[in-house]
Amino acid sequence: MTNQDYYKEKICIVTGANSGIGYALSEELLKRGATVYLLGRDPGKVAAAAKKLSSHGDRVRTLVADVTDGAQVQRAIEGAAAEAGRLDMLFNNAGIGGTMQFEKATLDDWKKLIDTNIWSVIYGVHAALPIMLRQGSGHVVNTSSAAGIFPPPFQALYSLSKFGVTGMTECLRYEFAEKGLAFSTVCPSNIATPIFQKSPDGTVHDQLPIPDDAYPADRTAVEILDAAAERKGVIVVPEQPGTDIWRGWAAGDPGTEAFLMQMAHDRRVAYETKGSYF
Amino acid sequence: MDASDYYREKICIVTGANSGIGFALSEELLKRGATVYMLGRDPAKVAGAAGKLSSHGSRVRTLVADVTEQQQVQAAVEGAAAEAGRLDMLFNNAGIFRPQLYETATLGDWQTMIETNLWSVIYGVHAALPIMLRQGSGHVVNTASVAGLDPFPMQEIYNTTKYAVVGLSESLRYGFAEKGIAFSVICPGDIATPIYSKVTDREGRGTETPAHAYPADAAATYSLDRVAERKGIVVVPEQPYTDLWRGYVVGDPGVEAMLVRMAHDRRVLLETRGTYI
Repeated sequence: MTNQDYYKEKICIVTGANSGIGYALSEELLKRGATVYLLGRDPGKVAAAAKKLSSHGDRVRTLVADVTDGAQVQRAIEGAAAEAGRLDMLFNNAGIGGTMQFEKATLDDWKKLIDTNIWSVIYGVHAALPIMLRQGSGHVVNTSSAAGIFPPPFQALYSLSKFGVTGMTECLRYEFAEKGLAFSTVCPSNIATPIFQKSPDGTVHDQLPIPDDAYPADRTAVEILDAAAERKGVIVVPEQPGTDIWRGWAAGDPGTEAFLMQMAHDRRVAYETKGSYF
Repeated sequence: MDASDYYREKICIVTGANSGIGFALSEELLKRGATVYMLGRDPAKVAGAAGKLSSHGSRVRTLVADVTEQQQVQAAVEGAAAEAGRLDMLFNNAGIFRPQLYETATLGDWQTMIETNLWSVIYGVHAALPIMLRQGSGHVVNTASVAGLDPFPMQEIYNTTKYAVVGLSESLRYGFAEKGIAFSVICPGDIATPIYSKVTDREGRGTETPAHAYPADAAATYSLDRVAERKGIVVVPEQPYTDLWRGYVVGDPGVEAMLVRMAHDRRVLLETRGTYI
């Protein structure tokens, strides 16, 4: 099966589909012939995102749910599966950034990060897995982060949540391989999306720039879907330098250690002088 | 400074100090000259554990707190620091382990494990860090697991929490290095502790400690030697787990095959006996 064929006529749910990587994944899935349920919290934003993709006709569908609410997630997933007759793929993609000085993080910031980035994935898998086990097939693709495989400084909250997602997803990959289910962990770094402009409370800061060197979201979606079609476990995108930093960190490579220490210094200086490191 | 001197006269708090790795760390810290606040939820068990270490005199102290209660953790950490005049080291060690088939896990199981293994660490760091920043020194040592590095199957709730602790701890290590605050994360493999007796099979029987399990006192000695070097990730025993982790990270086919086989074997055991240990 080619990468293109993998998605043809698949019933997919994508959370956090309004913007960023979620929107790009939805668009690319549609191009590859899938039926996509775009899921988001805000009905107006979900409808607008779906409208931009309306050339794909009735393969574009919408679901409204708050991913931090287990009952809403369960209802949305079971509803979509009932309507479509099955559920082939679930993309647990919704998430928020959490780049801040640890000293300034409140316990409410922590709760928000853990609810949105970890519990949303738990709820999604919890709802989808019984359906996929009954089918004897299915593929769950969870969006973690490069910060979920190595620990960038000043992203302690975010890194905590994304390491959790990586550990969970990789465990499940082995656990359900012989049951015919696949699990992939997407680890993007520095992708050109609105995540750079949002603080954990959801406030949008238009004045904050998306970094010039950020990787394009559409290109990211293509790479993710190519790798997921091969049923790859951890998908690092762009593949470099993320993969080398991960391996260097795990191997205790002195160059990687120095790189991360320097990053910590630079980010601290940037925080203390301009309040943000990018 | 050698590994023994590193702990002399240090004010330490150890959570989950009643038994297992927490007790072994407390004992070894006391041997190396530290003052140790042993923290646990059950007053009688904390007193019992401290009683066993009473030869160290007034350097053995106790704190009673439930690590899943933020205000209790904050009060205990701040109280100890106020009494002792400072806080040099915090060992966020308390945790629980429960392997199971994912299909049988409830959202309540997730909640319990996340509160005990993850929020406890967040609460501890949240309370200790302002004190350590004011001092300009301090060392936080979090207990994760080799399951925080490798995705051992059939324990994904535990792995989720332990991966998260590794990510947190390592990110903070880089973030606070130039502020004089150190972070280490101990990643134990199979250590001979009561954690196994709390894992029950289908008939409710506690599990035997595996024959290959590493002794807790040796694990504490090794860990404190590495922590004194301000090492970030401390894998104990170092092998085979370090090679396993690195093999996993580079996608080594042998490690991949081992994890796939482990998943199969564990599933069979869980389905037949209710536990794989």
